[in-house]
Amino acid sequence: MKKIVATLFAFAFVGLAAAQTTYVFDQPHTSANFRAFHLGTGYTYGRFDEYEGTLVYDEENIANSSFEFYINVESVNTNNEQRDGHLRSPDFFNAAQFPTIEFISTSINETDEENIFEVTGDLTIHGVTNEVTTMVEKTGENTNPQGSPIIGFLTEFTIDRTDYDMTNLLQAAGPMIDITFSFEGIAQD
Amino acid sequence: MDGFIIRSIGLGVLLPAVLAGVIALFGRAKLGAWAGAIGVTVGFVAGYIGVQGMPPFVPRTVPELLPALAVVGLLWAYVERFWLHSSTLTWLLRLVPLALLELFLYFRIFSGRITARFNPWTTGDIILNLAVPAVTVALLWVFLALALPPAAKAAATDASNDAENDNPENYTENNNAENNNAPKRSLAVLVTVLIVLCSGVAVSLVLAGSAIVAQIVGALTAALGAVMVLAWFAPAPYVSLTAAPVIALVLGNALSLGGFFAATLPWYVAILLAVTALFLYVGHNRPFVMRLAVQLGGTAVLAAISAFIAFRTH
Repeated sequence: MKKIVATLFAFAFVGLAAAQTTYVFDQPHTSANFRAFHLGTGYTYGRFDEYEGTLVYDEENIANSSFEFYINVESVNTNNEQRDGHLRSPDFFNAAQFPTIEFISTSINETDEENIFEVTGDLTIHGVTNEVTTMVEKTGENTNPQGSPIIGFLTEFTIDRTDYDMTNLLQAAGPMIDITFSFEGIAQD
Repeated sequence: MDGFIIRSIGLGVLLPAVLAGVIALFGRAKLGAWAGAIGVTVGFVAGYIGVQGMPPFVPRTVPELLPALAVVGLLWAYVERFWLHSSTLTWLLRLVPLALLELFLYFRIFSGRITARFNPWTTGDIILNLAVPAVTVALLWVFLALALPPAAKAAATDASNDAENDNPENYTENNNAENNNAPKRSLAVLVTVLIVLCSGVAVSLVLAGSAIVAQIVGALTAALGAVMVLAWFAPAPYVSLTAAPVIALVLGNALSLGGFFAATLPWYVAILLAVTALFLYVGHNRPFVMRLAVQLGGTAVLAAISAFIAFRTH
């Protein structure tokens, strides 16, 4: 009897695992952009050029999905070398001490809208972790030229940088930072 | 930006200068030589709070470490309130606990880099990144160790033959400053050299890209500046120099931790600024005017070169 129960559990587990697909972010088709309001006048845009992440996606039971994303702070790029150096300094990101921005999901839920998911997770910036909830849109699914399944998502949300102990020069760059994150994942065998 | 500049000048410069000056000037009678260390520390911490807000009790970032180190320096100064009797050797021996403190701070703050997900430090990186700050702080400390005891001893000998003057606190209280201004002012040269050095560090830091760390060093410079003015115009031996442990800890760490690590200050600029402290010692046995020219001139030239390199490489 014990063997039968164990076998059933094993099949159930295999079935559960089979429903999940792991996607690794495709760097050339992923972007993490942000914008800050400069001197109360106009928006300055920037992005991070180096990141990695994985999505475990369960289409049948979305709550079984999970998402991790890591950004190399040193790779900040606002198209101005001097400003990038300033952003890496203790005035802003303090990249020497806090080299990574990370987001690790804690729950993913379906919403009333098709292909829109509510993702909650822990966002760590500048060594401070806060819970963030954002709506994530699945933008498409396809197969890349190499024959691997790919999947795309997009999310936009706003954070208050003072929540992350980034309180310097608020007059120069406002506290509210708009983030746009778009990624493509390539399914792993 | 107007608010930033007004706050930088008002709270980051004037406040620390006034507080340090008042405490050092009026505290001499009650506190003796230790008034200098208290004045600089209180002025600096007040300036830090003015521009950065109240730091957490346990420092989390490099800038937050600096006021904590100022308090450590003050306690150090208190323990060593008779430090003027110390020899160069005993000063150097104190590098051991200082080195342990520095290593603890570095590992606490930068351990994340060793295991970082992106570009983790290699063994070579670890050695370089530990060696540069250690060398920077050690150089500053060694030059202070070389410069302060003989300078203070010479001033004490020159200023008075009164045996009581061996005790700096009695000296401050018992001597008529007006009659002994020349030898006392010779001590002011050391503080002036430190001021030029602090200014060079602040300018290099701001040119290297960290307005905040520069602003914090600016508060230290302002506090020390008030004590320097006092050292020139209302001289009292030792009052200005007891702040040495505070200066060594805050300036050395601002330069190495805040500068080298975090503000992309090139490592050779950090070393050059630390080496500039050599002018605290060079020419210390020369006549007053010659010493002033050599020490101030040398410091100013090297500080200007450092600032220029910081500007060009950023």
